[in-house]
Amino acid sequence: MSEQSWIPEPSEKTAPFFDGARQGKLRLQKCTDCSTWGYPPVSSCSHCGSDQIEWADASGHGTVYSHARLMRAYHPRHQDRLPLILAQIDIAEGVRLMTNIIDAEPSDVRVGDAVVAAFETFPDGGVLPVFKPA
Amino acid sequence: MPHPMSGKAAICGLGMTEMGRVYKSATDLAVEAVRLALKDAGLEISQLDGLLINAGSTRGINLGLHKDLGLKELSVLTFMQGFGSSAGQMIQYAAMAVENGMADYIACVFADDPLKQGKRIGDSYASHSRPEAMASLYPIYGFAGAIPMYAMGAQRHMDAYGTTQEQLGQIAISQRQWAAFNENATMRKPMTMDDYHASPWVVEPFHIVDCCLVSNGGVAVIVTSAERAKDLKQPPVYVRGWAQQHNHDVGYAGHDPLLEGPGAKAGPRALSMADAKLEDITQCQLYDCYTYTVLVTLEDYGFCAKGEGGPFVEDGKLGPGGSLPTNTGGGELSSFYMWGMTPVTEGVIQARGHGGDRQAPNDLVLVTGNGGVLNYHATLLLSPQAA
Repeated sequence: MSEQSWIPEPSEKTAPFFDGARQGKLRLQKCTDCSTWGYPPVSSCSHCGSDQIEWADASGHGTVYSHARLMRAYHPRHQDRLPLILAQIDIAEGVRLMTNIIDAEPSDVRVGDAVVAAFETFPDGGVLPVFKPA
Repeated sequence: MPHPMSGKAAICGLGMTEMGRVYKSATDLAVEAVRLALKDAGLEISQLDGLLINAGSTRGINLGLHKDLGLKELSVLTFMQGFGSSAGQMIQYAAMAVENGMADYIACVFADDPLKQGKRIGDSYASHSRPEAMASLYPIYGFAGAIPMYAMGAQRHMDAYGTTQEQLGQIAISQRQWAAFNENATMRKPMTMDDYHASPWVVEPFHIVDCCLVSNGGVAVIVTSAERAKDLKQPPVYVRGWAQQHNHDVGYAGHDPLLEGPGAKAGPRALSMADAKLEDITQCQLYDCYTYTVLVTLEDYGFCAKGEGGPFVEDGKLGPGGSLPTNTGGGELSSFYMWGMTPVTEGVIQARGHGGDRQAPNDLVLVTGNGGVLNYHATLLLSPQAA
């Protein structure tokens, strides 16, 4: 598989997320009426129902909601890095992200651990937001 | 007082094909299951006037199934999809339809054929899921399928309450003990705790044996009125209570959807319909896509307090001879994986008193269905007595 296929072609609705990642920012969506954040792509606010949604840069800080260890590779990125730490991160802005934790001992990770966004760059220039211990 | 609908409908027919590596199409399996259910009930196909259809992971059957069955006229017909809650849902809608006189005999059918000769299981599943938008990143992160999410549920439970790997293992072991008594079960070889620990990891904390099987097969049940059921071949299985609950709060902090599922709300409503208490339930047939699903469902229904599921199951009370017989056919972990029809089939067998060596007290049988990641839920309370 060519490395260029690792990051899927961004759609109109998700391009700002990937653009943000290339700039080292965790760029998500936010309601301009009530300031509730959403994991893209959202078309209306989960809190107030408004359709006035903008893109904004989150702080990148969060805590571990839960975690698990992938023990079988089924994608080229997983090769040579098992166990890969799977995690759901509650970011400070109130959104829960499905992601990975890097630069950590798998057996050391616990629910509630503080983490901060990090960015993994692929050879083709694609960038994937992940998290690492804060 | 029970709800006026309680006990007014009954399951009068059960049809199960061979399960597991049976290389037939989902359509052929569905047709076979319906015919077996009719024969089981002592009915002719011409008496069938209702058909509810639910397709499994391969989406191998559809609304046109009535043509494959040669049914020229029906007064109830639809295709339904609520994933693992579909089986319970179909029986609920069928019960309401027969009670309202829309139809006399309604077949509820499920079939799936993910096992293909010369093809990997992942390919069968993958061809039916085309993630879009941000979800297209999940395979790169390692989040394909439901296993990682349920594994994170189990891990959160472990971190929050001290639940142990051995406690999850005991669920798998208890069910395997039941499977030894079930000739339709795929995995009947006894499993020790050492065997459990030696089972390969998939997504830690899940070994392979924490995860359900993959099976080809078909199941149909026939629902009719309590009155009609009395005159048929099999002991009627009365549908005493039911409920559904569907939750969608996964994406936002502040909710805890992996520690409490929709069963917490569906359970009390189903019991209220039957005018029953939790203590009246004599056995459980719980949707067990993973060991953790059993643990969280027991807590959600209140068999033990939230967080105490680990110690609750640890003494083997779910297994043969235990105080809360659960998944007495081996469940999806050890018998076969027919989505919500796995617990339904065993619930019907048990409520009829046809469990043989694995028969457990059957005054009130709890049957649960679960879909998504603790998103979609259907509850049934079955009994050999109408009231």
